Amino acid sequence: MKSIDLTEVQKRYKGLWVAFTDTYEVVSADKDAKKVYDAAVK
Amino acid sequence: MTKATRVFPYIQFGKYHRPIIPLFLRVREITVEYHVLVDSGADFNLFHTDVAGIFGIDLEHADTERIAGVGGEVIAYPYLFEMSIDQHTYFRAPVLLSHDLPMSYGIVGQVGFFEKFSVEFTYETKNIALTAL
Repeated sequence: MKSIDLTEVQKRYKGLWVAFTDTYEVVSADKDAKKVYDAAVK
Repeated sequence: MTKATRVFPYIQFGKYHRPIIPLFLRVREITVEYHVLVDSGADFNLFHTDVAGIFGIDLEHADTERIAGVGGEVIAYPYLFEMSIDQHTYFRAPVLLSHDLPMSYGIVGQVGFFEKFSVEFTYETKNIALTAL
């Protein structure tokens, strides 16, 4: 089983909370975790 | 009866591969998938306090504990979460919530996680297998 490579996500969204799809595509990102959750469930 | 084993791939950050898995957290009607480092060297589960905000957990009047971290003592808030690795079978486990967690993913440790699963790390194939006890 191959690792899931989040290197670029970590670089691009450093310091932010991010929400992913099941395939690890970023659907929302922000400094506020609640905002990220709310945006992701919309 | 055979027990189901779930296998998760490691997560890669640069040249490092870490046993980080998605964990479902449930408080009342809200379920959140939160990624956690499975750390056999950790005594307990440790999540960032921002996670509490998603669930509307009020930490202002919560009990506190002092825990020893790399940078010294930090304040943490104990809380009991329902958690699951498959979104079907949930168990209750204690978590310490801290503002001082330097990364966004949480840590699951001996109390409240390793006591629930047989855990097999395989760095060669970069996967982690969890079997419920």
